Amino acid sequence: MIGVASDILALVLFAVATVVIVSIPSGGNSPFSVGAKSFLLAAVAANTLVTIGSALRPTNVFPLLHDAQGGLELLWVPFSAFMAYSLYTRQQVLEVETLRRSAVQANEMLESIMHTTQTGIVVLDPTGAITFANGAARQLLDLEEAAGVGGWISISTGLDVGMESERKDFAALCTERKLSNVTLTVTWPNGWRRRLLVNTEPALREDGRLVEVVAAFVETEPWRTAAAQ
Amino acid sequence: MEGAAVFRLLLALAMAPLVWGVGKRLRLRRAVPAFAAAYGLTVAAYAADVMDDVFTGGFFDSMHHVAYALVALSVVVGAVLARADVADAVGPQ
Repeated sequence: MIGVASDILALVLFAVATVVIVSIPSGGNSPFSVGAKSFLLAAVAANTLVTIGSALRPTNVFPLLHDAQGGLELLWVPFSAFMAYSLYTRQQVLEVETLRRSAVQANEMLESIMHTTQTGIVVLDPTGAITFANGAARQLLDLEEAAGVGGWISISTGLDVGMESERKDFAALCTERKLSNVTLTVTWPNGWRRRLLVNTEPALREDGRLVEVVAAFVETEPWRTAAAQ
Repeated sequence: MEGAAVFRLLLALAMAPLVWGVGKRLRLRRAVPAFAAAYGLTVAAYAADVMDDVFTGGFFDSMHHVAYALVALSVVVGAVLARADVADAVGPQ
């Protein structure tokens, strides 16, 4: 008697569960994927068949269903496990997507700040080549992006960049230590020159090797020609 | 039949670490305990089935049916809570 009442109650509850599961939002940014929903529905369907087979056992209707009861009962566990795994995978994908979106937003904000500031900012690789320059740096150093190269070049061939009283190129800035308020003189082939006050921030790997250097600079003296100096 | 019931119970118990490991990492905080209860009751139903093969009298057979009804109840509760968890995660549309 208890068994029959329990089976009828289970059948009603499984029907309610089916309706609720179908109404769970899936897809888009929902952590409940279509796969997870399908596995849960399959698990509920397996258990419903088990309960129907159990309820019809005394009447000997659908004996095949009763014979298959053991196997059907077992399906509930792997279907539930697949549902949980599907949910977990979907959750991981959503977390990665959220991280990527915030990284893109942070990058866009940082770029807009760099392009609106009056301070020249360049990123140098360990050899001293410019890999990024903001608007102010492009103007101060007369730079343009090298098409198809993915880096930056100076359009003033023979541009001479030197530390105060010593003639070196940008590689002089590429050290593993920070440089503060270093004066840099940039000389163009026609003799024009600019004197810049530079601060650098090196980015290092865990083993201490230099990855890149961020250099920020402002002009300390107005633009002048060699003759004027 | 006895061997099949014991095998089913052992297989369900063997999957417990997987269900536990994945379940505790899911962000569906309210639904997971309800689904875990459904899993636990399933194991109880399998165990009652094994016991029913050993002891006569129909008590464990009744327990087997009752456990299944409780599994169904847990699934309903789990599905309702999952629906609420998903609504919280997705936010207002």
